[in-house]
Amino acid sequence: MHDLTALMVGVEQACQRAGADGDALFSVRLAVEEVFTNILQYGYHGEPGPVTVHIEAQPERLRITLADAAPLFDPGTVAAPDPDTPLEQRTVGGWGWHFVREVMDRVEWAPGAAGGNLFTLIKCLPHTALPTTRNTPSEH
Amino acid sequence: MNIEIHQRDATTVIAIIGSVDGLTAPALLAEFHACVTAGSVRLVADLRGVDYTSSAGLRALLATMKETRVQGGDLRLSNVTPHVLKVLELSGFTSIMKLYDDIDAAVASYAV
Repeated sequence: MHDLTALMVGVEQACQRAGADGDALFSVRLAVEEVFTNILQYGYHGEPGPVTVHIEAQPERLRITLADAAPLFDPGTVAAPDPDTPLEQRTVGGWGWHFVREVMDRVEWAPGAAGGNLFTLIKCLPHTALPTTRNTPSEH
Repeated sequence: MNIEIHQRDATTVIAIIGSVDGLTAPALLAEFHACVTAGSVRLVADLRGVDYTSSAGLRALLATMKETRVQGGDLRLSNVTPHVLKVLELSGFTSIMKLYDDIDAAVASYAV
């Protein structure tokens, strides 16, 4: 979890290089943190494990991938929590994937080629003219 | 993340500065809990200096709100910034938490 700080710095730098504005940067930061912490907590159950994050600037969108070596987990099987749940019935968890789906334009999951999971997040930047495609890999 | 705590009459104001994420939320929850343990159950979290929170921050808010309300108090928010407000709205927290434009209004709300 202590890699979260370095990961967030990398996310911010990649977004700024891609010309992502404040709202897009916030969305990407939130989605990456939620996926990353879900992998650590539920994929690896707090034990050490690899997570590889790539952020790629494509024409008018950002494509983010997070790959792990955890047991297969399809986030599409997670039911969306009900925002109208009364306080007494609310639990402290369960919102992570809901936020990811809400702030990203597309969320995909696939088994990794060598095992594990590959999560792909797409954030559209409709008003941003992006420079040439680049890759910003970071590994944690 | 930095936290500054000061007393306004019978209300404790917790001013938070920085990002509330998976690393910093446990410290925030610990500060909230310390306030409640010390007998302060009328809390105001001032979020003027918070431009980012994840679900980890929401968990700290929810746990503290429950803890204070069972003791006749509450956790109320002031100066919520746009990105934090978006997270609160996505989770429906704006319907169960009380939000105010500034600290004065949040503190005054406890007198009503």
